[in-house]
Amino acid sequence: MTWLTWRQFRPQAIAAGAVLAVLGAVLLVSGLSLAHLDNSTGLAACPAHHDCASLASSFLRQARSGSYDKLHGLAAAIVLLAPAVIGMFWGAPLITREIETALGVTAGVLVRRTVPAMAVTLAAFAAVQLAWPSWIRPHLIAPVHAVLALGKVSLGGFGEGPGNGLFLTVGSKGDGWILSSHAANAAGQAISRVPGGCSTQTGGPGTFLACLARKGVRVAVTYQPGSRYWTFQWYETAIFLVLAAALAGFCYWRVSRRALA
Amino acid sequence: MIWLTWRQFRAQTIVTAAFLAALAVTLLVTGLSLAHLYDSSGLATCHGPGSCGPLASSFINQVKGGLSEKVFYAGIYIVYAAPAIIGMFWGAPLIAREIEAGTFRLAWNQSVSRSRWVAVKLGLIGLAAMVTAELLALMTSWWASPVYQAAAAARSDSLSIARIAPPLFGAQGIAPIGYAAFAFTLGVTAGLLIRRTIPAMAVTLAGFALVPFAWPSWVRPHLISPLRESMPFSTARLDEVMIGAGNQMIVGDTASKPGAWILTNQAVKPDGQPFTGPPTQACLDRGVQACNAAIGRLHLRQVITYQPASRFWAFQWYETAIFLVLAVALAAFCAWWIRRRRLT
Repeated sequence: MTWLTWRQFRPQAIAAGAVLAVLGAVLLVSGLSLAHLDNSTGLAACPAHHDCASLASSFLRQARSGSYDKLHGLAAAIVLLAPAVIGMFWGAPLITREIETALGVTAGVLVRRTVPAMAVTLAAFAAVQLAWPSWIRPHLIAPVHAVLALGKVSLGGFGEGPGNGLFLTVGSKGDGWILSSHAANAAGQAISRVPGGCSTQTGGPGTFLACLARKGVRVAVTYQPGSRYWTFQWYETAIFLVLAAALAGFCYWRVSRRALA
Repeated sequence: MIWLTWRQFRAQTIVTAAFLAALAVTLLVTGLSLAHLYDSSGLATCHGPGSCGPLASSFINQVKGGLSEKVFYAGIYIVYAAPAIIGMFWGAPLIAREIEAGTFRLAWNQSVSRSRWVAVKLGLIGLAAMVTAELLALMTSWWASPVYQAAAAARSDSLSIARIAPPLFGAQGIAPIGYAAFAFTLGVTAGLLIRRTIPAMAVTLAGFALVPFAWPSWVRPHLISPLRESMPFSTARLDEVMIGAGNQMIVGDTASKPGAWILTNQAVKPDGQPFTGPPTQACLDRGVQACNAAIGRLHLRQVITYQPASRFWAFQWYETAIFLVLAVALAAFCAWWIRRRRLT
């Protein structure tokens, strides 16, 4: 039975092996040169010097300007797309092909069934990729709410909209994942108007921010701290493994009780 | 023959139409609210960068981080994915399934000649592929137009959006027509040569997935020779000072051209050679200001090569024409192959 599985799965295994080998070689070569860049910027030894931050930012700029940035994006895209491709080319044909060929239905029907199954797999997985990080993942663990003074946080953007509208967002909170942010008073209630006396028109951005801070404007931020990274990883893996087991159980049930007609 | 094509293509047409309709409704609803946000932002009536700048920055910051940003990127993603999906699900099975099912013997032995069979199939479905891709590009571009208008009104480097640079370029204008035609005929050709649907789909996906990465990196920048501009190195715009091993020092400033696609950005010495060091002493052992002043005394120049925003449509026409020619070549190959094939 193992041999049968291997024999039927051989082309897919060879194709996947080839992709992994090529990708591994590309990442190894470029990864070694990236590690070399890390050493040569002095970042690895920076506690001995004085200024880690500027070394780090110059390293990141160099990494971003070269082909590393493209590779990083490509690798992330491959990791996100791999499950969809696996589902389409490994999962969908697995049983449809059996049913259609083994049960003597003409080979012409194979296309009508396998290909739609692949399309459905792709559509469903794309929907999961879109919906999961937007609506489900943020709520797996209750996010942290914080109200912070303007000087204590790195702002993403701020400004004055029409009708004195105040606009203020947090750019980053450590390595946390920011879900939402807005201007607020000390109690965390949203402030939507620029307080009287402050204006972006007079003076620079710094003056405007200092004025907001004087008037008691703070920023409320909802985020998932970076320290929860592995908790989220475990949750997410467990949830999808349970879903996979449920689907596999359903397939087993259908296959074992299906009449051969 | 047209009826046969429609009958065999009906399922794909219905699925695609349903998807386009659902997407159109989503884009219309969110797009109208974005347009309303733009109208109420005051950007439509402001004059000059002094008053438009802050309004544009506030508008763009409001778009960022919200649902609108997700729709913006999802739209780009869909326009890029559509040709690959069309190639896989419309192109690859077109001939491969006739071969797999053995129905090519029937299909290619009718009063309708094989040439006509190929011409009608490739023509009609290829046309549908191009129309679908262009509809997607038009819908998402319409949706994003307030964002582009705001970025143009801001007239500032930090907010400029370069529509000629990847990834935006390939999701706009008429280029998606060329990609769709190419991906579709690539799928048909793969199916014809491999003769099995699923491997042909895999090959089409792998082949076409390379295009968005390889093309903008190695081919597109050279379609028209880039412009070169040399300007005095500005320590006010200084963005990078890197002192590395082997007595190297690399400096960079944030020279930019709003809306242009910057290809290279390099500091050069007065004699025109790239500046790579040696490091100035002030940067090694004194503060930032002394370092900046010492860099200023080197009289460096910053040289950028770029494709200006004004070439957007020239590049669009080039790119569409190239991919359409490739598509026609693949289609002609398919027609030739089918005409001479014996029915075994």
